[in-house]
Amino acid sequence: MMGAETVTVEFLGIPRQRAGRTELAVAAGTIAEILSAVERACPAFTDLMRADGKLAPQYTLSLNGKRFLRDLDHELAPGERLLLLSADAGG
Amino acid sequence: MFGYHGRYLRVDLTRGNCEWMPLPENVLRRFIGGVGLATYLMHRECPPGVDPLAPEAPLIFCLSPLVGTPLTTSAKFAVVAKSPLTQRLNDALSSSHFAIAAKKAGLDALVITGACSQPSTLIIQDGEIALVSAADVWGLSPPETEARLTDQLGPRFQMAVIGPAGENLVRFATISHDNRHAGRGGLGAVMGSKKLKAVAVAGSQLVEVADPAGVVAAARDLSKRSFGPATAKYRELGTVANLLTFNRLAALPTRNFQQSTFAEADKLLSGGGVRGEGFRSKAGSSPLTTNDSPLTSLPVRRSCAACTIGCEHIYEGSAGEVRLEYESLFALGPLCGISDRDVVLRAALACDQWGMDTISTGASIAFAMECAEKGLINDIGLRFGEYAAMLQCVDLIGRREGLGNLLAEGTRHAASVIGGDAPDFAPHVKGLEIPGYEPRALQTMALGFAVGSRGADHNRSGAYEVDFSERADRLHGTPDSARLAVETEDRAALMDSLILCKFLRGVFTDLFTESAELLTYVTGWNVSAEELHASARRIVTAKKLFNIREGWTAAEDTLPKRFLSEGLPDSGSSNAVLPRERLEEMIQAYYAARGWDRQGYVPSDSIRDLSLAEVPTI
Repeated sequence: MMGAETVTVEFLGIPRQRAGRTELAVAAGTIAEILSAVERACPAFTDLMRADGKLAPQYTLSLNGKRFLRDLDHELAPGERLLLLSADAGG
Repeated sequence: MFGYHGRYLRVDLTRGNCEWMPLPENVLRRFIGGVGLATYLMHRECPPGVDPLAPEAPLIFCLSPLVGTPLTTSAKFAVVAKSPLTQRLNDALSSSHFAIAAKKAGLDALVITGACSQPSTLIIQDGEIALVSAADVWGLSPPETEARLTDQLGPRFQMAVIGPAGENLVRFATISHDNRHAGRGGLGAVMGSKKLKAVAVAGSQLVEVADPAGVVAAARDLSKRSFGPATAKYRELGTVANLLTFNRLAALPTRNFQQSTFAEADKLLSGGGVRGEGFRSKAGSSPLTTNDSPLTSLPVRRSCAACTIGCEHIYEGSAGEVRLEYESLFALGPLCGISDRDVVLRAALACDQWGMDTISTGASIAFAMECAEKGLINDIGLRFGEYAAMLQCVDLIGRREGLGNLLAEGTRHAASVIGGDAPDFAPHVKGLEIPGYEPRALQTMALGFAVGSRGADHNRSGAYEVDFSERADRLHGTPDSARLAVETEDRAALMDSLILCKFLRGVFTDLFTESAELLTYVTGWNVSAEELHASARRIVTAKKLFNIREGWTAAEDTLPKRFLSEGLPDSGSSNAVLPRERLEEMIQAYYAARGWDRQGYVPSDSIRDLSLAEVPTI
């Protein structure tokens, strides 16, 4: 899917390994909706969400590579990019 | 006493004798072990104002109450001295069988003073010491030295050794064990100044724990959790995975911090470098770059003793197998403009064989490259991306030849000799070269670097965790993020004193509460989370007080001019700037959160409240 109404999810680190791809275009919407689309498109990515519907703590999100956020109700506008990363940055 | 021997061994190399010194329970409980206990010992054993390379300067190896238990990642030791690079307190950690063997040798800490008249090896077995000639291993690399000494002494002995860089007093030489390094701040030069090539330890003195069943149950639980998702990045990918993430976030120091993205980062990981060689890791991990990336692993990973994480990924280059971490990759790669993975592997291997800190080595060369491009030095062909000159420069530093002799002093000193505007872009804080976190793109980390007791340091301040979260704006630091930085320092101080590997930190739901339980099982003390919070604050403040004793002033708590006057050119970081006023505002918030005054000094009531008043020399 690629078009004016989509956002792009970029996978880095463990998310890239789990997703088996570098990025995915999905319909714009809330982060919760976008992550659900990721789960559907990447069935091997089994540990993305917790049972209570929250993002698993080992992952974090960055909006357009600038601001980090965990608010799943946040709505992305078409054309924006959501980075899905490992939460542990150090090493 | 459980968990400790209750004593340390003080060895005088000049006289060739030793004495046992008691460690009272009230000291052990307040400073725990590792970095904390060693900081206490530095106050006690280090003469004020001493030259770090003088015989009187102590070199301290310090263990912890958890060493020898089955708790995962607990086989660690701290090495502490006054740094020849920073002239301030320097603590570094390393891991594995040396820690276990040293504790079995009957000591909680080893304080080495004096100097040998000839290259020597210090042998400690069950509390007995011997000094023997190291003439036959002088000049050998750390792995060669350990192999030779193992042949001579037998497999019971574990060795901490220096390489030729330590012998040559390179001010960022490491102390090595099993190819892992107490890497930062030049502790290998301190050891080299004592003509001490190796410390070999063995013994059979086990330390009892208070609640063996509790320790075993906790160890099983912790090990089980350590196999989970919180450590997956380290286990499955290794820390080199940071490279692409940092590049994407425009936080990857590049070309001596002139840029924060490296256009060839993907190429560096995926192949196609100058030599066209593959960049293969030995751990069987999946690709980091694209689906056809050759960043794949060989069949095994390596672990420290008593570790269930197994973070070490071994890569195969033209010069052989190399352990590579993100910090080595960034410093010897993008920081020097190098995009050939095999060159990075060769440079990292050379650093291991010389026994040199890869961060300071890479940063020194990158600094020299910029100096050369600006015409400030006559060079050996150093330019960003010139891999042959870069590899040559690593060896020149190790041998202290030509330009390498100047760079072996560290970038702060080199800049003062080179002159011009070189000090403005020499990438250090307090003399310690900056690790792989661009300060302008990670502004809470910038604060952590500025106020760090050992200089620019990503292991004593985990402030980048704040930047990589929704709790702060990484491109615009604030006093609130400064207060969060304090928390990361306290967590690090606790883990470095227990000692547990920081790669385990994500496993804990509440580090202080769970650590209190572990310490209670081991020592039998009724330890609380609140007590450990106080211990962490005490340890951070004790380090600061040592530095004050050695001449620290608030002018040191800053960043080089480049970071405070130049914006980043990369749009990925919104062309971030870090004005001096903003950093100073964060520093003031940090001092306030620590209970220090506006000049960064520690008020007497804080010293009293932290039970530091009776520490010698405070």
